[in-house]
Amino acid sequence: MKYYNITFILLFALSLFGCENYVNIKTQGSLVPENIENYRYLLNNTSQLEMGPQITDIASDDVQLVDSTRQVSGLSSSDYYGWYLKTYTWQTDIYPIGYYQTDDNWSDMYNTITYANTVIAEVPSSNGGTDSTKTELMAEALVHRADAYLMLVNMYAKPYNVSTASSDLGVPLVLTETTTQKLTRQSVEEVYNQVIADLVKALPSLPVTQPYNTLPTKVSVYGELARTYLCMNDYAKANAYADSALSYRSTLDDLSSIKTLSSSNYPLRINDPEILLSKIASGGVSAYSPTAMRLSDKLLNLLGTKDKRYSLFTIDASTISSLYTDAGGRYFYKDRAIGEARNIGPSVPEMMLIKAEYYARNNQSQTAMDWVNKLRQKRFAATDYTPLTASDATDALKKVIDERHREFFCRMLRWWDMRRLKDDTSFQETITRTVYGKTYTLDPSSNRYVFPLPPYQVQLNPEMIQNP
Amino acid sequence: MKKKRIPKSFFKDFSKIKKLTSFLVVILLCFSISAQNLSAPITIKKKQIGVEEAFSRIKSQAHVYIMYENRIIDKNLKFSLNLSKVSLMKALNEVCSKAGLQYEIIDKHILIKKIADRVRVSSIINKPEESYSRHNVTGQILDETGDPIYGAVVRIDGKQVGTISDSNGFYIIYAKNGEKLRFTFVGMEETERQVTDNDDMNVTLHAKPHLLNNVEVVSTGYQNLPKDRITGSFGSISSDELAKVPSPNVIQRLEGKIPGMKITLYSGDKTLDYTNTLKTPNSSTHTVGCTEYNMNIRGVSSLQGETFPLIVVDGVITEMDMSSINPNDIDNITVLKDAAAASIWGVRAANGVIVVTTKKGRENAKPKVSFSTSFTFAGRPDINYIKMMNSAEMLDYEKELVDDGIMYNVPATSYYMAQYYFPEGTRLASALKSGSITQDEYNTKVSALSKIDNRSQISKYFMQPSSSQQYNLSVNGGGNNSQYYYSASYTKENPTEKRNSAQRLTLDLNNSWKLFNWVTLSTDFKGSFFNYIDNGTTISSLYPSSGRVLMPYENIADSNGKGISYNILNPSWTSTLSSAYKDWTYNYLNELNLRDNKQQTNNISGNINLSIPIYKGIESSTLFAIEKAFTKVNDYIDPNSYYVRNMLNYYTYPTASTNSLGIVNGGILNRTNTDESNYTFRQQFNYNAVLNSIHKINALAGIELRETNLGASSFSLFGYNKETGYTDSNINFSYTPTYSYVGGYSEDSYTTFNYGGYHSQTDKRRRFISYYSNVAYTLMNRYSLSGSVRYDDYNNFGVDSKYRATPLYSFGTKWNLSHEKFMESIKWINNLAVRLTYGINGNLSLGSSPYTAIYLTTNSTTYQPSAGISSTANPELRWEKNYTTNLGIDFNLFNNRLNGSLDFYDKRSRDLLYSLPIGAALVGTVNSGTIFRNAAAINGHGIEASLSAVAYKDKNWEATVGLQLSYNTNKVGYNPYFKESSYVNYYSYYPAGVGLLEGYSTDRLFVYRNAGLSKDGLTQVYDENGNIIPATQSSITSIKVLKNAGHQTPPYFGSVNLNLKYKQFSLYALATYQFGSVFLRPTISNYVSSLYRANFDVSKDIAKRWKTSGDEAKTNVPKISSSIYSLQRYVNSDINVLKGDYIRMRQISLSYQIDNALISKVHANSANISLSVNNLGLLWKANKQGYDPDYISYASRTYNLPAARSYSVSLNVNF
Repeated sequence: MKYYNITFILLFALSLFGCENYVNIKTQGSLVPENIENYRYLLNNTSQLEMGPQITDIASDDVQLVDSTRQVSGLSSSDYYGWYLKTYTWQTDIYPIGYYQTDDNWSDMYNTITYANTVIAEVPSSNGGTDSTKTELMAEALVHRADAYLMLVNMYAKPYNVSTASSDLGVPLVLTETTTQKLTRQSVEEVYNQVIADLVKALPSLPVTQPYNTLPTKVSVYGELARTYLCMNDYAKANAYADSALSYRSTLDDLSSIKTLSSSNYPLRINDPEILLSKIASGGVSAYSPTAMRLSDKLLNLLGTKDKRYSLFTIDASTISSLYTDAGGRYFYKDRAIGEARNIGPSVPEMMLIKAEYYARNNQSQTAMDWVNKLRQKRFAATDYTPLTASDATDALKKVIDERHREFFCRMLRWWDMRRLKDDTSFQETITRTVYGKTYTLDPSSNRYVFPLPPYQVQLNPEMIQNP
Repeated sequence: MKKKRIPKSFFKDFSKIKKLTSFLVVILLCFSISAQNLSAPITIKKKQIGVEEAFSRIKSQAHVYIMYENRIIDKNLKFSLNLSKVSLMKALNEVCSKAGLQYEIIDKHILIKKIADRVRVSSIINKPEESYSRHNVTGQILDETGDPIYGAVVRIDGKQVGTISDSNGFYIIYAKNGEKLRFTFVGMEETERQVTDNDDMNVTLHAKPHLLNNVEVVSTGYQNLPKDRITGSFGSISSDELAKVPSPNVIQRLEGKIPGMKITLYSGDKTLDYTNTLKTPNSSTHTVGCTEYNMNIRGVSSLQGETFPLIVVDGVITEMDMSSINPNDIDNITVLKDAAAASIWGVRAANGVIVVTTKKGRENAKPKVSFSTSFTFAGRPDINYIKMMNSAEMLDYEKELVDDGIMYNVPATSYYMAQYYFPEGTRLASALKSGSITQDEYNTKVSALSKIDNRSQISKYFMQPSSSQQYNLSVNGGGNNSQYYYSASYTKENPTEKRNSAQRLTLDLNNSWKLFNWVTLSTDFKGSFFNYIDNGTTISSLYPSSGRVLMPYENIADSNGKGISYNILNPSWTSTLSSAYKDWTYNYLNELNLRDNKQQTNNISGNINLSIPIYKGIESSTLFAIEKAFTKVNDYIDPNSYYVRNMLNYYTYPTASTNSLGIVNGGILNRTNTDESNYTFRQQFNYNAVLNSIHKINALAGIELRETNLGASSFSLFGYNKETGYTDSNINFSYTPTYSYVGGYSEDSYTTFNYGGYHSQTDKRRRFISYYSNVAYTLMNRYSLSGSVRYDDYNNFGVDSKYRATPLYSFGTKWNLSHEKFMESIKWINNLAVRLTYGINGNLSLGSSPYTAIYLTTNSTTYQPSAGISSTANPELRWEKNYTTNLGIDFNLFNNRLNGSLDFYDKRSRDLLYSLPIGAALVGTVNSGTIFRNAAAINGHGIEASLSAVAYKDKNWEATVGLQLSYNTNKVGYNPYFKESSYVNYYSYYPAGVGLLEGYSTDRLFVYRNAGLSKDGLTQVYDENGNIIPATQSSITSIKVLKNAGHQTPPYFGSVNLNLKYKQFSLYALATYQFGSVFLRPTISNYVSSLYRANFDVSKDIAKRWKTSGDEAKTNVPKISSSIYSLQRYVNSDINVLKGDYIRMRQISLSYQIDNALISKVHANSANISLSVNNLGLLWKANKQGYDPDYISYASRTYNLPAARSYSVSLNVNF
């Protein structure tokens, strides 16, 4: 019996030994990002964090299609391209539930926010890394999140209006790692406050330079704050942050001597000195048939043929497709020429023109024009360059806005300007478009300056109130 | 293991007892003799014991009636007994021999008699004329397999004289010439022999088939319990039952055997030669063999978790497919169905558990050698089962495509243009349209093409009559302290596709030893080694959904049998290419020999088990098991294959003299390796006891640790020379390999080289720890209670401990009514028991994780190491749970001639994991906006009935009929996202994509209500109010537009089997059936809609399409159109719904037990030969269109042919 008992005790002891931690392993194959480097890697993932809207340009007056052409029939040939014409004609249902219901603009920007929230929530408890590394990573995430919310609120909510911002519906603010939060829309003001709060919080922890423009820096924050305050019509603050940005980065790409644009003579966005934080339109390179953007007469007239932005960034219809020659015109071509999606993030020219606008609005038309010309010098061949002058402050403001149109066409900001200025009588206009004989109008009071929330998302979260 | 085959009851003439009772004293009434009584160990150790005391002890330990006349007992006789755990028989033998008594088992009683009977007999011996005729007859009693039978009763007919065979089956009896000896044993046919002068009389007893279905001992994988005491619902299959089906894979042998277990065989000619033989580490469910079969127990328990039953071999969970088990090694299979039966397996039990017990050695038995072989042959399957357009119809279709301007000839000026090169019919129609040929020329060529039907060539060149062969050899035996079972088998299978085959070799080495007389050590080593060759051309691959389709007028070979080459690219362009290019045509016949795809799979498993009795019925059992599998795929693609030629040509710039990849010669070797390693450690304590004669307790508790590892890697070698085994090392692909190519504008324009087998390695490790306990208690053999509890922990579950610290438990109760006193008088009820159980089983999805999970990648913009989120944090993830209530009845009636069981169950599955759409604002684009949640609920219920009846029986004949019926259905009880009121994607054209809706079964088939064609030939459907929805209305936003056509899986299914026996012949027939399901008739998968999507479908229905105004009155098939709504609403409409009901004749076999006299010449103990016909086809089906509902290609362009009838011959010899 002795032996029995000894065996029994031994086996029992053995059976309990070491069981405690037996299942405390993580499964291989799906990596759980416990270490600080993994969060660095997440933030390096530009293809997830860089995305911005792609359809704003089509809604803007940058684009003008000719009715009943091959491009229009190409766009209507398949539901796959449904969003294009629906955006172009300012429909209320751009991504209808059904065949192609995913609004990539919405999903991609909230995807950036999901990544940012993951980093912000998990970095503090991650292994390795100093406290300053951790705060820097979190600061980067905050900048990406702020940028995404600024783009979202300028797409799916009314333009900032100081008197109604606290009641105008913004977008749902998701600020933590959650799968259960109610997606109630916060006010426009709350969204802007959050954007500013994130940016201000991020600022001290960020470096002045990063190896690539895809990674946020202090300068990125200044750029973001400048464009945020411009959207809020707070020109003084916008100017101040533009100044801060320009004090670090003020180099412009010189287009004057470029004959044909290619990636060998024009910097890629990650190294482009003009770009303060690289953000791109989510659809990628757009200049292929049938989704290429045919530029409006208004824009082409504004550019003139001598402007390098005309000769380098636009192209004849035949290059897009031999079938498009009948309608003629020019197409946006910058992204295809250099082989990457168009940048929509804050840039040095944007900072300059924010300053110009500030001076124009403060009756300093000469200073305003100086800033405009400083940019234009790099946009013309030396022989074609003539400085612009303004007769008065009103003229100066008009020229600044025109210059913004020339500089930022097909880069989201024109749409933002149209929203921002639609109630300003000196810039007001009504745009009309005709597709298959039917005419569509966008007048200054139109609800269509605000994109509809994706119906599929509203169905998933009915607490989100749809835009009118 | 023959000793286990012990009677549940003895049944003989009752009248004897009535006569006897008048002068007998009934000593004790306890229980009838049953399996446990005979196997219950009896221990009596006493130096001075009286006869009565000895009997008294025996009856109290074995719970039997013992009857004797008081006067025959010598009250003064005392002797010593030293019986330690012996059987009832042995104890009785011992006591009787010492007391000069003998015993006889009559019905449910043991009758003790004076040996004086013999004395009386001996007085007769004195008669001189008889003295020579009376002598000792001796011999051995064996069963069919040659095993000695211990405890068989030998009696002289008409006399109360008898004896019992010993452990080696030997008997001795004193008998007279002319007297009849009657040999009886439970479960065996009674046999009579006449006594002759010969002293030796060996007898072979044959089993009663209907009784063998009742396996007496049920294994749950953790313990063995007598059937009487099991409260749960289970089904078992004996090795004899398995042996009736000649398939080398046990899957086929399980079909129709257990009610509630549905086995669907998608392939008749392939048993081992699976299409999918590789495991993928990230798969969340069973995938190996999924194209050939599917099985489930009691319907759906999970939506996106594991749905396959858990398979346990000799007590250990196996991750291997069933094909790795040699069916001849299986002793029995137990299927655990309800919570009480299965919940001991905790979170893995929800889908049911299949417990396989393999054969073991035998105690004190001389080596027994068994050899069996089997050959199976089948004809070619019928390719005409696929409803294809004939050549004329295809040519007509092509002409219409051209006439409609959808297809036209494209001048080939570049590589891109050359790709738009179409089949001959299209080219001819285009030429006619453009005027380059005349109508007459067109007619001549088309009529020549119309005469061609390439199906006979497809059958001739790509298919063959399938065949398989099996050989099996085993030896088993053992002594007092050790037993062994060794086996080896070899199987080769050649399926219908030429150049495909599978071979399997299995080994099984099983030993057990008794150490120091009290410790049992058993070891088992199993190996299964597969070689697969997979070079065949499947029918499906001739009609791919993208790529070149073989047109019905295109032959495989010319009249000389030489393969015909077809142009993939326009020859007017390829003919201008330089000599740097290789031939760019495709030759179906040549391709067949230009691939060498071999796979080796080696599975090895071993386990070692140490059982130590500790104290008073407590036993410790320690198990360590390991399972390893290695798979190596060598897929060699010949340099002359189209794949290699096309690849090299593509990476050759038109002006270059060689390809830009630098591959000069050699082919491509794609290597895939998988490596699996699993281990289980278990420490368990068992407690078995009988207390105060009436309380029986079986309890166990244990801890189990389990780890699984699965890794897969693949890579490709370019320029590999098969003969030299050497790879051109000059080919050095860079990280982002780009090369100049034929489509480039200049030699400096590059494209990425996308080679298939990118170097990859994936590993997955999972760990489980489980604590479990089970108690079974039986009171007075009548009332049983069972309970089990199990706590599982898994490394991929539960950030929050509250979600994983949930024990899974079950309770069960059973009442053996037939053991009640008041039932004694009901003679026609041999056994009746009622069971009621309730419990929770778990299930999991191996693919889910509660943590944020990321994947590592390199950023394509900055080339910095980066990561993406593969799943967002999901901390509420937890086990799926199944709450099952089961009510069951088991009965044996009319002298065990009608046996069966009936089960009713209710199964509520809760917290089912479901990939739900979630707001993009919460998860962005991660997982396409879906998240795994424990969200859904299913309510299922069902009925299972199993019945077997001895329909007729006499001396030579016996007919047994078995019937199995299963009913199972379910409804989605809760699904937070998919509600009828919410309208979502897919309604507009793809109802199969509609999510699981509350109130509908999981297998419902939604279809449109077809409203015929519009005037312009487009499909119209009715909405719920009978209004017509035209195809031009792209958006359908209400579920009400769809109609629920019924169940896609049959709610009623089962089998009928017949066993007919005449002397040594037996006939077995198995039919399976299913009722209540519907299926969608396969029809057109697509129309050619543009030059760029010129993919030809060959469906016969295309020929029935709307062509011209007015056709809408004659046909429902819409016109050629690019409208997805027109075609898909037609495809998914009620007019294509057919009933899936059928009765299938699966097998008829005839076997013959060869005469002992004949086989003894070859020193064999027994032998049988059997012939069987398998896959006899459908006896009846509900659909009149000729579809076999098990062979429907739901996925477009996967053509699955019904199995051809096959014939098998098997021979089985035991030495």
